[in-house]
Amino acid sequence: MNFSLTAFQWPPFWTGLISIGLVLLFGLAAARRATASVPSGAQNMMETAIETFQDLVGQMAPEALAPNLSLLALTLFLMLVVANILGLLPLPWFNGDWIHSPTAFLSIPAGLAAWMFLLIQWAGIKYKGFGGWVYGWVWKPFPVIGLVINALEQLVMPVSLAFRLFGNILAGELVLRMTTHLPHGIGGVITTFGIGTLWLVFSFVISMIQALIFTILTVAYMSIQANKDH
Amino acid sequence: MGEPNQKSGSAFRGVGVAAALGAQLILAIVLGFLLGHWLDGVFHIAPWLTIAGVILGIVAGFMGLFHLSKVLMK
Amino acid sequence: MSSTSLTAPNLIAAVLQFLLLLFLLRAFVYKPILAAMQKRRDTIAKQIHDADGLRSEADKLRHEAQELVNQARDEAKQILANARRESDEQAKKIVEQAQKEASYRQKAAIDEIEHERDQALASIRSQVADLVVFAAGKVIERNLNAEDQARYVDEVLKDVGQLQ
Repeated sequence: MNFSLTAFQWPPFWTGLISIGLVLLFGLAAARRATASVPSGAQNMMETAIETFQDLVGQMAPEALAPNLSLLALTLFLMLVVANILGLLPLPWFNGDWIHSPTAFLSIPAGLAAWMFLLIQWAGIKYKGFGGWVYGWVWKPFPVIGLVINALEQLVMPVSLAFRLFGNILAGELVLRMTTHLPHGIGGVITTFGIGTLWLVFSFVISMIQALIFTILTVAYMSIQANKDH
Repeated sequence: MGEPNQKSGSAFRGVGVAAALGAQLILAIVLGFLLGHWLDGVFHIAPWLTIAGVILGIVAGFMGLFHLSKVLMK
Repeated sequence: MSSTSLTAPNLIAAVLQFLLLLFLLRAFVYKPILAAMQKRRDTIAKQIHDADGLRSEADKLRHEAQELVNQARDEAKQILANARRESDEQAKKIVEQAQKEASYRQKAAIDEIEHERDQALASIRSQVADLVVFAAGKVIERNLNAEDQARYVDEVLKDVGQLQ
């Protein structure tokens, strides 16, 4: 793991654009001829998704935050689902490799998690007031120890978010590629096909679950910060 | 609003709790260890700050889980 | 650079991509769909409200209809009762009249019969008297004075009168 302020990796940028493009296409298909009477299939799916997230977020976040946060969470979820699954598709990439998920590059989950961290702190300031937010960091009788504990607790949120997503997606892709290096011969074909298919299905499920986890935990962290009784 | 999804919403949140449980606790301890280790290097009083960091990491990890479960199990 | 590298421009690019998607979805997807959902909710609420109104109105109308039916039934009962009473009265009147007429006719018939009988008796009486006088005259034409004749006639007449 290394850090660079200037280097730019193009593959996750392009696959990221592809991901948001696909989400946008689906969204536009759902919103095209959006009707108040009986909705079409795509619109129905999008309405169900919106209602599910409104419900999910409404159970956690304060009422004033919920409407916007539910749309943000839905957007995040849709983007991550498409991004995670993208790396499982049999699409060739320019450099001879197969396509990678943008979320299989640490920078992308980390960037999103860092942004969510800022949003979480913003929610804390907005809903507890600046004084309440500062007090939330140093509330202990020993301000320095309290600050360290709270800093650790707050830092764990984005770091665990980023690494969990990145690790799961990268592992899914690496193991999928490893299944193509199984022994040759008749037995090899069978094991390759069987294990590869099994792993592909497993990775599909993992892709969706990880997108959901990233989204739910982001909403949960933001709700923790925004709840006044904390 | 969203009454029919009451159940699925709760199930999704359960997934969140399960996912957060282990990793977050361990990560808090690791971060506490790294912070303490780094400060030991700065102040040259090893291993006291490392130990303190691990202890604070454990506390922070459990507090984080407590806060998270309070929201996720509401 | 590898997939485990943290590259600052990629961090920012990822956030910008997410914000771009959020902006576009909000503007072109969530807004119309949420509007449609809200509109559907409003429509359903309005329909429920309308249905409630219609139902209460129907209840009212049914109530009114029920009242009308009850009223009509009462009226019919009254009319029937009236008709029965009137017909009873009329029947009684007819019977009375018939009785009156019958008794009148009976009386008239009796009167006539009596009158006829009287007439017949009178005529018989005068004829008998004549016959008696004639016969008596024939029998005792010569040896009976006027005084004896009158007494004899009276006796005969008295006998005839007792025949009545």
